[in-house]
Amino acid sequence: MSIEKIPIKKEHSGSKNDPLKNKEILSVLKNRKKESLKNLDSKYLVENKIEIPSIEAESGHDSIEVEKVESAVENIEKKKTLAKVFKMMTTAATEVAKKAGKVVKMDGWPHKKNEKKKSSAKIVDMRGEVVKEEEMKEAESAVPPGWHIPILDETVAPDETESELKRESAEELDSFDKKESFEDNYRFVHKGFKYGDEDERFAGERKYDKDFVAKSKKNAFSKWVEKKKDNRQRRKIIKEYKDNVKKLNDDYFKDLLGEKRIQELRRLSGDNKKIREWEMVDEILSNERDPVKRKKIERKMEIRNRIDKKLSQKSEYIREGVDLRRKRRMYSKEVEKEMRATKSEMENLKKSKFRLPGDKEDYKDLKTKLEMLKKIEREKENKVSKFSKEQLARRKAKLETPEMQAVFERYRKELKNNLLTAGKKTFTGVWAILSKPVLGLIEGARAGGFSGALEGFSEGFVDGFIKGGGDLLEATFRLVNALAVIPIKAGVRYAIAY
Amino acid sequence: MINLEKFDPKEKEILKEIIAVMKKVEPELHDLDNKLEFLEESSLAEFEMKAKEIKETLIYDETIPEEELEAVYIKELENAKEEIFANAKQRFLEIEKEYQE
Repeated sequence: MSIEKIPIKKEHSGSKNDPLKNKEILSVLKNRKKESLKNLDSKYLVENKIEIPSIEAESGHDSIEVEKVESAVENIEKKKTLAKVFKMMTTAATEVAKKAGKVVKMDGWPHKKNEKKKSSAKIVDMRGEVVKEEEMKEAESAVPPGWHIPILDETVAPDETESELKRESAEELDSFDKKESFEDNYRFVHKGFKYGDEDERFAGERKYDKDFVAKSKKNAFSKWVEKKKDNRQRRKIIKEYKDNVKKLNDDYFKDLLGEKRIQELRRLSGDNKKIREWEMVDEILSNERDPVKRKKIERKMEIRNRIDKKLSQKSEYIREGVDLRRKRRMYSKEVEKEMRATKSEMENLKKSKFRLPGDKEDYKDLKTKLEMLKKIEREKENKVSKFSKEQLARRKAKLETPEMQAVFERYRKELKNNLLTAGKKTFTGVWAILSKPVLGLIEGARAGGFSGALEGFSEGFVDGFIKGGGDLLEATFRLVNALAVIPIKAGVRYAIAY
Repeated sequence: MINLEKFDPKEKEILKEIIAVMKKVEPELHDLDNKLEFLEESSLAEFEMKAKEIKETLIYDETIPEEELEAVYIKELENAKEEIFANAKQRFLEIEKEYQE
């Protein structure tokens, strides 16, 4: 399909400010439009949903119609050329990438308008791992959508030319995979600097343990809830322990062990105390002839041991949490200390005005090191990412659209309603338990012939009884409210919610 | 507010008894009310924090492509909502049980 442009004669081009000054231009453009449409492949137009404006347009809109046709023709020309370039570049890129030991997976040339933005290219190495994935936008790049220049090696500078790449020996290309896998062992590789496992200071998991993470993923609220829960459980266990031990002491240690043994135990501590105590109980048990008494002692000791075990488990768990936080602080301090030292070295070099040869190079290296340390620092916040700044901003914006906000609000509302329903149910349940004596009183009064009098007790009760559909509980609730004995905000809360 | 003077002595007696009983349970009701209110508000706050956390995690999650972000976010939000409500429900039952005991 070839489209020839009909040259417009200079005498018909009009002035700079008014291109349509000369009316003859319209007839020229009309001819040009007709010629162009003759050359168009109608199937291609249908496939690409290109609308061709009517040729027999009203004279008043001629200039607009001609512009539309021209743009349609130009689009087709552009697409055709881009498609050709796309094909050529795909072949070339695949060849180059193959030589470098990588495979380029590419989407096809988009034929539908809607597919433009969705197209993407993935570059994977021979092991099938994704090396880099990038969304391509037609507007952002001169290359067609779906096409992506293969990145052969992250260490290759972007301005390195293809001829320079070709000069790489076959050996160098062979060692590519080995080099990459070697670098994989480091946590951070940045401009030739490697940090992490080599430097113990920054290899938290090596220094502490393999499960060590630089920062807790829990938020402040979760941490607070967990701490509160832990302490509550701990208090409960201690209370149970104390109650039982106290009773055990009263029942047995005082009566059974006797003052002499207790005095002996007081002098001991830790494991020794525990072992001695067990020896004493064992001694008593072996001397005890009464099976009922023996059983009782054994049961009490069992309870005591169970609580003891639970308490030590809980304490261990809390201690582990404290240890982890201490390790994180230490790790953080190491990184911060190194950052301060690097900054001060850089300052010194600057102050000395780079006197010695190589000072400038050192300064550059220190700068790179500082960048690296900042990256490690960011890792503590779980924010190290392979995404570019723009990509992150785009991802953030995607989750902060009004639609997403509406979803959040909807779920929040649903949760609130569910909570209020469950809360009301609990409140009513507990209210029924607590108001039982009152209900008993009312029922008693009714049974005792005071039903008439009860009706006169309060408008609230009668009103409540009627409004509550004869529900005695509802009536009592209203009565109590009418008496203003209890200012219950829960009632108001649930009343507002429903 | 009801004026006790309007009632005859027997009615007054019963009313006084009711008031006495209600005054006894009043602190417990306040306690219950506070517990429920705290649970409701803290669950909502937890959901808000969780949503922020999910958003933050997804932005930096390299395994999730950009076009799937919204769907994953909605799914995660729904899960968080369900989880938080399940926990709260458990706590509601525990509270009720405490009073039953």
